[in-house]
Amino acid sequence: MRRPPKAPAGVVLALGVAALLACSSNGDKDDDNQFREDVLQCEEAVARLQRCCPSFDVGAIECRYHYSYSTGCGTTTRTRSLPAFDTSESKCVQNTSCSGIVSSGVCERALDGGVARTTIEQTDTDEAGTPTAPMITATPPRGVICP
Amino acid sequence: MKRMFLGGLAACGFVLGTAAPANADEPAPLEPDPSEAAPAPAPMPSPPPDEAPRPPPKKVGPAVAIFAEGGYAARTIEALPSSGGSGGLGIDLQLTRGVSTWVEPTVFLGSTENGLRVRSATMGVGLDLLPHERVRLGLGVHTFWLGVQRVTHNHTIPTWGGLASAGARFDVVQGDTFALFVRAAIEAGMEIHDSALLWGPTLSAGFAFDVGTAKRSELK
Repeated sequence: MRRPPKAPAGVVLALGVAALLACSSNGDKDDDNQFREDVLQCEEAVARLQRCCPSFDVGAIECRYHYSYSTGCGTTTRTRSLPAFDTSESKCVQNTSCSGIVSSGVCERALDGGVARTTIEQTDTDEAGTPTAPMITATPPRGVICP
Repeated sequence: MKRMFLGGLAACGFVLGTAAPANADEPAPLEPDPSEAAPAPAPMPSPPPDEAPRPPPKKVGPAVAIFAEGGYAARTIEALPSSGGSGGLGIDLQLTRGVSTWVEPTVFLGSTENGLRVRSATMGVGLDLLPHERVRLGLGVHTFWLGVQRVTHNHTIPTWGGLASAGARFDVVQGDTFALFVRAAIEAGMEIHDSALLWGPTLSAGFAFDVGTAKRSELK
């Protein structure tokens, strides 16, 4: 029995690029600027925790910001990532003595809550073009790290 | 008739006698002809032989100096203070006794209170007024690049922007071709990404030495 002919690789690639272009739009946004007060204050707080907390794993804390917005093929996706510590928590850690940080359990709570706070909001449109209720995926809420 | 003839002769003699010059040997002066042009003015007297002609005044160019300085600086950005060392190497052009212009690149190596490393480099130009030969009051504009070293991973967060500065310099020691000085300045500006304010003071000491042929004492 003869095998069906394979599509040439170039044709497959061209179709993939075409699909990608068809599902993207000029309204897409992407912001990865890290020079922000919340990012820098988070880094300063982690530097303090490194000095005060014994064997503190600084790599476990995500002090990063990201925002993206994309729309195409009937789906709009908005993603926002904020540093693990907000500005008030970061300043609280900086203004607390090392003995106070250790004794009040800030070191442990900081490690437990060290992931970036990410929210993904996805909205689809039905066949009539009416947007459906957004589907939101977010990092689970956590307790206050400091005080 | 005879009397009239003798009287006429006497009158003629009287007239001829009074018209004659005092020195009978000199010819009678000629009366000037009013139709002739006025005589040419007398030539300028030549300078005495012991005074040499003065050379044309020499055009004095700007006095050029190279200067270097170093000291302490503090910088605050995004409400995050940092401090450390600052240094620069520049060129100064003194145009007149009271005005000078300069260009200077500088670097800042500092850290925050908890150890985040902060690095900065600037390039600036400025204008100084010299109310006194030892005092300079200046304004400058600069472009800066600044980076904050992360502690969570090995990466530097960069930014850049513009600064303005105001400073005062005092020459503690001043020689013919060099000076030792102290300087105080304050800088303020804005970075491009978040429009965050960057500001801080600088205290430094340095030296300057003249290069080129123009002398400051000859400046007007």
